[in-house]
Amino acid sequence: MHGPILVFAESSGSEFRKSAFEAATEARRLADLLKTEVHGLSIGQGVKDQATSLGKFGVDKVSVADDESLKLFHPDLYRQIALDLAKKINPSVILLPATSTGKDLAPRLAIHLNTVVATECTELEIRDDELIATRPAYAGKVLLKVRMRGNPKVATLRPNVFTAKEVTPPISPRIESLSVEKPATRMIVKEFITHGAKKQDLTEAGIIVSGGRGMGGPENYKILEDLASVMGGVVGASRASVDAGWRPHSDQVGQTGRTVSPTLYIACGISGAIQHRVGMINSKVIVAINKDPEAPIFGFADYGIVGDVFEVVPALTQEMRKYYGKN
Amino acid sequence: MVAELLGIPCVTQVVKLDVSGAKALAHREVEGGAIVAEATLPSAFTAEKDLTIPRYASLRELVAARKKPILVKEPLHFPGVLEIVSVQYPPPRLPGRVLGKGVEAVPILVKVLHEEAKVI
Repeated sequence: MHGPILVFAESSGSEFRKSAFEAATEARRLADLLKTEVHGLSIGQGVKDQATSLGKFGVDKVSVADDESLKLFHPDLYRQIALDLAKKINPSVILLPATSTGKDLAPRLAIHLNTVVATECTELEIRDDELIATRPAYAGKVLLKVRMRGNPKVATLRPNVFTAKEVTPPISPRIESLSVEKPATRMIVKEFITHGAKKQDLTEAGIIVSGGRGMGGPENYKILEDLASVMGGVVGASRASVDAGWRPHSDQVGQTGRTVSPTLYIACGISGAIQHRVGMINSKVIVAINKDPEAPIFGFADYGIVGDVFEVVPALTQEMRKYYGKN
Repeated sequence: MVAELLGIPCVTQVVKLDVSGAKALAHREVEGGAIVAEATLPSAFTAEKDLTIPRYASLRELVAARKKPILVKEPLHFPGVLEIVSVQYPPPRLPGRVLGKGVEAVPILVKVLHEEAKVI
């Protein structure tokens, strides 16, 4: 008999992140294979009311820690809550999204549970009753399949790789409120500073319009912002444009930036160096717009247009406006 | 993990760090912004790109570095780890096709994204 699958359902404010539903869906799939339950954990402020929505993604029971002190991710507080729950329910597997919170929390939990963690997993499978995780290594050049020695198995899942899928009929999960006892801590989490009104984060975006050295300067990103806004996407950047100071590091896609996996990635004026490639190669569809027909990006883009970004991108924005207008 | 074992605070993905006295104020890069956290020293911090600009050592320092003793320690073998079952290359991404040159290719792109790739 296997212990339940514990899934950390991360929220942003009082709403679950998309990656929380992805992790819940994967937890459900594993639970069916291992013939066990899915136990969700939601931590935050004002998260209590949304807890039942995890049932749509196959979660059987949800433990909720809802408190003012949990509004922002505090490593010591979150770790203690997750740890206490894990010790109580003895999970066989613990899944977390590989977001900044999940990546911080997973190793802390693992070390206190005297177990191991597989990070940034892109696939999980059960083989002979054992969990095998696939994770990229050497900047995505190879995929490692690893068997996890230790119990429970802790894994973080790369966002946008697993697909969130609703179960039919939806489950009405049992909800349990956790009392919040604050552990001794020498850290104070003070505030959250937002980078402006950006709606979506790059790692969770479905459509990314990205610009590189070919954009020529920070003022020219306006045409990418326009295209992204028409398509409901966000703007990313290559290392060249971040190093030049045109865009913030938080926008950088690639080896020293974010790893993204949107359904559509439009690379504008990006040559496609290996360091950029590893950050976006998992996109479902890649479109390249570049005036150099020899640019490496055309070697792995699904569709390419050879041309000047300053002509092609505004024309594409026009065309998309028409497309979204009539659909 | 090391910080948890030592029982000291740890702030990850730090892009800005100010130390004053026994306290450090760190900016953690997260989705859509930064979280500001204050930790009492000693603490661990994991550095994100842009936290510092690496400086090149001077020739004098390079020469001095050669004389520094190197302490070699035996690694401890810990059994409870990830055991690699297989190593493989990711499926190759085949080159797609160039739809055309300049603005004339734009309507074709919208059409294939909708009809063929089905992503919009």
